[in-house]
Formats: sequence, C-alpha cells, structure tokens
Amino acid sequence: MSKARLFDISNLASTDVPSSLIPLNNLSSYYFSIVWTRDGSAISLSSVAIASSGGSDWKQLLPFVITENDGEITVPMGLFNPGKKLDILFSAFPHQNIPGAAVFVTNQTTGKFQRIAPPVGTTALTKGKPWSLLSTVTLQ
Amino acid sequence: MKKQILATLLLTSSILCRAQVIFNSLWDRGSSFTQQNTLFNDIDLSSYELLSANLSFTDKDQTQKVVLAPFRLTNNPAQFKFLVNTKVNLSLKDKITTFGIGFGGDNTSPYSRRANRIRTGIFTGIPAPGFDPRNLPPTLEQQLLRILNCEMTDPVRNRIFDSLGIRNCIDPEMLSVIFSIDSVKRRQLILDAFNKSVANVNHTLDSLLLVYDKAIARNAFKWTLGYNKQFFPNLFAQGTANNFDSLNHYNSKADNISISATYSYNNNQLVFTGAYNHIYAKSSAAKGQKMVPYYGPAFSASVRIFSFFKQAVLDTMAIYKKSLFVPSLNAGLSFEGKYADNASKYAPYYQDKIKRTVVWTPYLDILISPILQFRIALPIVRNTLTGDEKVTAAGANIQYNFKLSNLAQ
Repeated sequence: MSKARLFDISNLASTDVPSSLIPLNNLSSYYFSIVWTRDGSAISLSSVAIASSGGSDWKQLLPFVITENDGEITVPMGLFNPGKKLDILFSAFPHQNIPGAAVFVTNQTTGKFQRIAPPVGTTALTKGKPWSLLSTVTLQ
Repeated sequence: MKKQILATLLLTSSILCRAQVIFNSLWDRGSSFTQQNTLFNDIDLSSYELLSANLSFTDKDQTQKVVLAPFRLTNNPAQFKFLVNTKVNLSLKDKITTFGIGFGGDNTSPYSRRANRIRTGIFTGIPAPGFDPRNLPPTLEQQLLRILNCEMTDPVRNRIFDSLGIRNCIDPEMLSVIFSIDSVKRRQLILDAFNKSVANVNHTLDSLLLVYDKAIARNAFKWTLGYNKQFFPNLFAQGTANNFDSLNHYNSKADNISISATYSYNNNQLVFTGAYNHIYAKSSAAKGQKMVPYYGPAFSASVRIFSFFKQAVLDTMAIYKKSLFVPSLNAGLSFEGKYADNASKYAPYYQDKIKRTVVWTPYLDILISPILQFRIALPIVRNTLTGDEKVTAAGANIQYNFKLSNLAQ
C-alpha cells in the first residue's frame, strides 16, 4: 500500500529519473489511538489494519496484541499526505466493562486529531466483547 | 440472665443486598460482614462493594444496616484510588443507631499494581492476526471498469457491447447508486472477513481473561480500618416525667475503632478473616454511667467442601466467567469475643453485668448464585458475669443472602 509520495511523477517519462520532489512539509505523521474513560481498565488492541480507501492491500499495524490499562493505546500509522483517504479496521478487546471509549487518528505534524468512532461521544464496551469497526477517514 | 439466653436463641433472617458497579468484577465472599454476624455485625465495615445492605430479624431485636462506598459512584473511581475504598456505615440494632466511616485496600482491584503486573505477564507476546482479504470478489465498479478497460483493447468484446447496446443504456446516476449499494455490501464483507481473522486471537484473549481473573483471585487480601459512633435512642426515647432526664442523660452509646482483614486462597476455596474491635461503651443512657473499654477480637475460617460443578463446566459458564462465582457448599467456623476491661473501676458499669462474651459459630454456606445464598449456623454463646458465673447457650441462626456482584451487563 502506498503510504506517502515523495516524488512528483506526473510528467515522468519511462526513461527519466525523478527530478522534482513533493514538498516534504506536505507529509504528515499519523497515529491511531483508542482511548477510554476509566483510567486503569485494560483493553487489548487485537488488530489495526489500514488500506487506501477502496483498496484491497491491507497493512497490519501491530506485530503483537497490545494490552494497556492506562486509558490509551496509540500506534503509529506512518507518513501520509493530508487528504489521503484511508480505510481503517480495528478490533479492541475490553478486559472490564468500560463506560466510554473512542478512536482517533492524530496528525502529529499539525497536532490535529480526527474522531474515527463513534461519531459523537463515546461508546460503552462490555467485558469480553470485542469492539470491531471499519471506518473510512480522509486524513487532515 | 433472660437477655443472655434470648441473645443466644437467634433466628435470623438476613437479606444481603449488594450492588457492585463496574469497579471490581470479581465476586467477593471474604469481605462479607456476615463473618462477624453476632456481636459486631452492626459495626463491621469490611465491605468492598458499592453498596451492602443487611436486614436481620431475630426474636430479640432486628438490625438494619447499609454500607455505602460513595466514591464508586463517580464516573472514574480509579482517579480517587484511596477514596474509592472509603465507605460509610449506617445501622440500627437493638434501638442503637450507628454511624461509621472506614477505608481500606483490596489487592484484587483491576487498577492495582499487582493486577497490572499479572496482566502484563499474561497478555504479552500474543501475535496480532494477519488480514488479507484479497480473496474477496472485486467490487461491481472494479469489475465493470475491468470490463470497460478490457473492451477498449478487445475489439471482440467491444463489438459485443455495441451489439447489445449496453454502452448506450448505462445511466451514470443509476450506476452511482448501484456502486454505492455494492460498496456498503462490500464493506460488510470486509468487516466480516476481518472479524473472522481476529476471532481466534479474541478467543485467546477471552481464555486469557479467565486465566487473569483466576490469577487475581488466587491470593486475595483485603483490609479495612473503621470508626463507628453509636447513639442511644434519643429520638424516640420514652420515659416518665420523673426519670426522663436520667434515662436520656447521654447521647453517645459507644465509640468503636476496628481493623479487619481477609485473605482468600484460590478464588475463595479457603477464606480467613480476622478483626479487632476496640470499643468504649456505656451500658445505658442513665446518668452516672461510665465508658467501659471492651476488646473485641474476631476471626473466621471457611473452606469450600463441595463445588456443584466441575471446573471444566465452570469455565464455560457465563456467570463464572463474569465474576468467578462458584456455586458450592462451604463450611466455616467463626469466633467473636468481647472482653471488658478488668479494672475494678469499670465493673459496676458492665452491661448486664457481663464482663466477657465469647461466640463460636460453626456454619454451612450454600452458595447457589450471586443472588441466592443461604447460611445455616449454630452460634454457641458463652457469657461470663462479674461474679465469674458462666452462662452458655446455643441457638439456630439462618441467613438468607442476596448479593449482586456486578450490576453491569
């Protein structure tokens, strides 16, 4: 899956070498975060997979399941150009009943974050019942 | 004397209402104040639930008791760490009103460092599942584009399209709707495939959650430090015109400081409780009474002698996975002692001239579900009076317990 573009190859002939770079400040570093309201409750993030929207080339972001109890799990997604449309799949496994959880994507470069799920507020999770979702986001 | 005998002939109907929010999901047995159910049940603060309510009816008196941990009602109790195990006690027993406050600790809390250490050990190194849904059929749009691309270079297909007139029939708006519907269906297919890919790892996590809960419950230790203030029934005091003042000369009946601890092994297979109550009490509200110091040790031990289900069956039961509750038959023995200070200056002020009370209670607990439990007990009470006269009696004690370990679904 194409994560980022450095070279402007719109006018590139087959024999050319890239001669121009997309301005590097167009690239941003993005992070996927699941946060929950109860400090101390544990969640295992089983899987986070991303793909270009509509694409079928999915990339698993986690080598291992991550378990935390401090209210947040954040994993790097990579470098992307703002405006890129991504499909994001995730599955979170709550160890306790959790009254409120939400998922965000953060542009570390600009410091802005986007809500992925739920659309408003937080969602309650039940002990032992995984929360899985497919969401499409246009990176900002 | 009559009172002493009556006190031993208890027929108690007790309803324990326990509500626990999501703070701690493991069913708690050792902290029940039924461990001190005869002498000190009104001042026992060893509850680790949001709310514990107890109603006891005897042929002599009745007890109503509520222990509430108000900070568990907050949205984020873990923020309060220390205060979350703070509880208040309100009870009425034998016309005596008791207000108390206590705090304590509980190493089964999912927020403790111990729980974090156990969790880290169990949930580390689980490989995340791969996800490759390339075997999903391409979308309608992709298929169509593929066909259209193909027909640009395939004169045969181009001729077929032209001959069928398809190209002229395609309405872009209609296509857009079709693609949209197809996209929703495809997203569901992707999500289904994803859920299938994570099903195994989530099943593993579910199994490990049970392993984690069992590890937490293997060695559980809880403690409570409490203070209670008891009052004579001044609000509804009755007296004649001559002695009303003397009858209600004092408001304060007693001051109690208590410390209690519970250790349970292997998810309540063995439960040991110990407590010490230091009490300063007056025998009556009449003028001229003095506070008498009492020393009140108490302990109990119980063992699960029979589980109604084998472990393999328990592991599949929702009620067990939710709170580790084990339907079982348990036997136990409790001791409660109340010793008055021996100093001669206190002797005239002993209540009912009793300087020492010792209660041994063998009991059987029948635990059917978290909301349905019975206790059959036979308290044996031995009172020693000021003249060293000893009075021993025994009576049946039956309790009905109702407990909700977790209100959350």
